Amino acid sequence: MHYEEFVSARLQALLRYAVMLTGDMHQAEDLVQDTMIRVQIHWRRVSATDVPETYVKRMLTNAFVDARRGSWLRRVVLRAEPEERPATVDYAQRAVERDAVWSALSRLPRRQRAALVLRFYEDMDDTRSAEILGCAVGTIRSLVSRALATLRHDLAAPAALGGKS
Amino acid sequence: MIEDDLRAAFARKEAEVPDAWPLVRRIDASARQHRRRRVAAQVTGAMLAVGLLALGIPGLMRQINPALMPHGSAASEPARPLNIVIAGTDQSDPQGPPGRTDIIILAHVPADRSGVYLLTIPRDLWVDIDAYPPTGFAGRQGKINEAYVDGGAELLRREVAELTGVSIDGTAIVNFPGFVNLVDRLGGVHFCLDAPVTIWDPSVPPDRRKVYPAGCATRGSAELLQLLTQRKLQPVGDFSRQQLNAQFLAALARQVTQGSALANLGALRTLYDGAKQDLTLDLGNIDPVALVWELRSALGNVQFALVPAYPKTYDGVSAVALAPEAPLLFDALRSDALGGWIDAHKGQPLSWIPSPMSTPTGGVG
Repeated sequence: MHYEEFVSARLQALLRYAVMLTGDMHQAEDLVQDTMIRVQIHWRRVSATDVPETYVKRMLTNAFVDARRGSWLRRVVLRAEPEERPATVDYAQRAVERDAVWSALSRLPRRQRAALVLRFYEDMDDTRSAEILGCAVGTIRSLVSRALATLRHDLAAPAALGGKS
Repeated sequence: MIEDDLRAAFARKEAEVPDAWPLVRRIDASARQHRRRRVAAQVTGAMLAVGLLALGIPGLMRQINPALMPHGSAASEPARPLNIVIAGTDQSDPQGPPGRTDIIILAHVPADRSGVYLLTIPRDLWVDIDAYPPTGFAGRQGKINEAYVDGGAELLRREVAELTGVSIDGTAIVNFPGFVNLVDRLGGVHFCLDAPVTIWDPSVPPDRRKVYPAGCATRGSAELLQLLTQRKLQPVGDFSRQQLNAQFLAALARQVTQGSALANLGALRTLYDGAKQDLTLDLGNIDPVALVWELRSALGNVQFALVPAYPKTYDGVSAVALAPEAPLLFDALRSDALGGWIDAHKGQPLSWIPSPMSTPTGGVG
């Protein structure tokens, strides 16, 4: 398979996955861009794996989990060219007003969040999720159950959080 | 249930997912820059940032037309003119003798990729054919279409290179069965005839011969094969056949670029995988799919010109010689100015053949 073929077939799905992980369109694009640059450069190695798509998803998930606040790319670009990013919406505020679930999701530790996206958005079984997160199957289960418990607790609270149960 | 709320939240979020295509271009630009830096020096995070700053202006993403092709692994880098010889042979049995190249076309792509220019070379052009040791061919004077018989695609390539003075990047040879398969797979090609074409058939009286009227139609492989192999439309030479074949290639390019085969690289690769056994391609290091993808918009602007030549007899053999204008054409070709030459000569009747022809150089309407 050629790199362009892979991009053509998979990029949109990767971008969707990244949006669910980060909750934010711009962060998702940065994440995908960071990852795909490395994929393109190391394409020979990537394409030699059994399922390149899984390997790339793993690269992207790791980048998400390991990153600190936003990618360094965005921080550097933002700092140097602040006018390029539209300084319009306060995402945090919008999340609270419109979608309590997203707000709660954004407060979860990144690995827990990734585990939730893999199970409830990608509909992946625990074995595949473990492959992508690079952990044991049992770890996936405990990540998911802890995350759900936190969400239940956060979303059960009254009006302060937009109360959705 | 919290699980349901989660799924619902994800579903809602899908509406916010942007289109991926503008991102492809940014990634490619960044990766190229990254690669260059790695070659030049140790890459540090700061250097990568500088490269991305220079190229990945986030605002550009909003402006890029998603239909713009990604500048992936280009067929050549940096962009330089490309020259490929396309030849059609009359071989009807793939296992049989190779057939003669009745159609020889030099496809030229200028460096700016603004279009694709087809130069038709008369098959009867009298040339000095080089020796070709691999086949034991000793070389002699003869018609240029004999080169393929004596030394295959490689000898043909060399002869065209010598004739035009440009280096040839590759060859694409198609025989009758290959042509039929290609056209059938496309479901026919929409092709217009400027003038009626009478099919040569000595077994039938002239007034009973089949005539294709002028006009446009989606034509099947059998009909196209019959039209495109007609040579006896003039007393001498095959100028009309050259013109018809060039017009056909232009129509084919237009049809493919307007269809869904070039919607994305995956579709193109599928088309190519199906078609590649119907062509004999030798493009060296150039990936044909990457090449066609890179030329996606250029293929919507296909123009052609016949190499100026006139009938001349050599040792009793009825052949064709280059007209005095030919060196000027080849000069323009070599200096990447062929588009200008074609524009300057568009619509002018050919002065070097016995009977006048309409639109000897032309573009796609």
